[in-house]
Amino acid sequence: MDLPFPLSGDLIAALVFPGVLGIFGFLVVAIWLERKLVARVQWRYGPLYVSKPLGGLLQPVADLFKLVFSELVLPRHTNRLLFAAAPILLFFAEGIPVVFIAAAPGVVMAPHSYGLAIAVVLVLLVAVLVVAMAWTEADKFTYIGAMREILLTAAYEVPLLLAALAMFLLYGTADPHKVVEAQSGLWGVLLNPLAFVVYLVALLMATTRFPFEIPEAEPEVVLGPYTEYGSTLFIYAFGANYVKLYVLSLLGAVLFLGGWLPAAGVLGVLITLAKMGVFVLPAMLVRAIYPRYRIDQALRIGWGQLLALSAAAVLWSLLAAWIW
Amino acid sequence: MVAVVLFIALFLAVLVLLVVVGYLFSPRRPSETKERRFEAGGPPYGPVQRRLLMQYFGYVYLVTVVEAAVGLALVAVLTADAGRAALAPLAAALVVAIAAVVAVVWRYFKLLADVRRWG
Amino acid sequence: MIIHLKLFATAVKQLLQPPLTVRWPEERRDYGDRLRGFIVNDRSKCISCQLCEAVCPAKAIKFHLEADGRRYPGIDWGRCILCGYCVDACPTGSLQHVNNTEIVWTDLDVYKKPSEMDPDDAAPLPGTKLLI
Repeated sequence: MDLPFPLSGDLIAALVFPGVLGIFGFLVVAIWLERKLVARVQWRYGPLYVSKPLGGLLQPVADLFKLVFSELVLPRHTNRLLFAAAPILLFFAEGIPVVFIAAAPGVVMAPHSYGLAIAVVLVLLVAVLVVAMAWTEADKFTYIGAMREILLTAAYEVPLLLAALAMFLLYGTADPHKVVEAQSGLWGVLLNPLAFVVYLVALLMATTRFPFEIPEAEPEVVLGPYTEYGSTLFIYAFGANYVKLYVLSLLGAVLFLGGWLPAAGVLGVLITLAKMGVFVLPAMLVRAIYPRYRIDQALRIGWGQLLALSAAAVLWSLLAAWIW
Repeated sequence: MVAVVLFIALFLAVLVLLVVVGYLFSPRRPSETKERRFEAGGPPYGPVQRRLLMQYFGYVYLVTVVEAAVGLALVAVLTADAGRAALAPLAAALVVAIAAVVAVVWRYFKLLADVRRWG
Repeated sequence: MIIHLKLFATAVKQLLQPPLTVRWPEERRDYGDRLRGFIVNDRSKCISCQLCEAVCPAKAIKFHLEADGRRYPGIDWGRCILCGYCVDACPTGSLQHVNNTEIVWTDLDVYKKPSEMDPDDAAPLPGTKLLI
């Protein structure tokens, strides 16, 4: 198969995984998986109407069709251009950090010696776009949802950074290739389990999954920051959450689970995909397990136990790096 | 570099295309009710039980954005090859940015401090 | 800490158990044989004693004059609660239950005339999924 351009690793990263196809494919699979897993835990079937032989896998695609061809309503009481542009910008910005994360040796769009650190900071930066989007909707429910979202961001920001810092200290580098090479002996989760636990809880907080589903708590604020959106913009607003889960799981797989080891190339990409599941599956299951925290309880956890645990993780890393 | 540009362009193109296609091919029946704010619940009655303190949330906003942005800038500067020589322009840039923020806050201080506008 | 692992373990255990849902219409509930379902009237046995109309608690049965000069019961399905008092009260056993509750009409005029309550109008529906 002769292509007009050379199919190098970074082009595969841009187009297939972890690029555009990866993001949209993950969106479809993650929504289906969430509904299916939660249904099975609750002793029911989950969506089975659309593609019965596949177990309802194409249900999100059917939902996508329905939403795209629904009427796009732009309200009159706000700036319509910003109203339409905010979710697009949010969805786009949530996907930007994958530029720096590698799925296999060479399959990365922008190899940088501090790539993973930049990716973590970018994830934190785009959290504010949710607040901006909620502000353009000019609705009191979105406002309350946005305030809860930003408070939650302030709560998990520092533990997430400290957990990532602990791993960078342990490996001595933030380059995605070198980080995975440093894990050829023992994976990151065994080297520093405290940082892994902190990262997992911070991931649940960041993607507003139960028990931290505070900004989108349906009985309290009607769908939180996404209340006023419908049709395609709703897909973007709601899907931005899943893109964040994608980015954070990919980052976690590279940082803690040894990335593409023990293989490379196409098999390495598949292995990275499988390791992402270790983060995605609990994030999907918690919907069926946990109730919802109050905002002050979540903040207390973020600034209390989680911060202490992440500080302990950094100390552990320093000790381990000093001993070995 | 090519891959990054390609990714950004393709991503944005797909997103915008989906919205445009949706807008062109979906029914358009605008009505006054659809374009109003979403309301739920009954009309308010009786005295206010708890007020939402809006005026302090701007600070939380600032903390999360400015912290991440300054962190990124610091990392970018310190990891550049210039090393110590880059500290002077970095300090100058930080001073300019902080001066801009202080100027905005000074100009609108009375407005920001007026609790009646936020409550 | 341990409680969280226990929660996940419980969730995984329940994940591996089969679902309880009845996937209607491919599967139907098996209610057993003596279900108090749709009520039919065998007009060859009916003696028009009007005991069913007297005992009906929802006043769903009304009698109508039929072509052969006799009156037969008709049940208003908007009122009938399928309690079975009329079946118990019938001295000849002409009113019987059928093993089927899933009756749907496409018309709001659900007042069934006696001629629409013949025993061959409602077939019993076999269930495919036991409740337990």
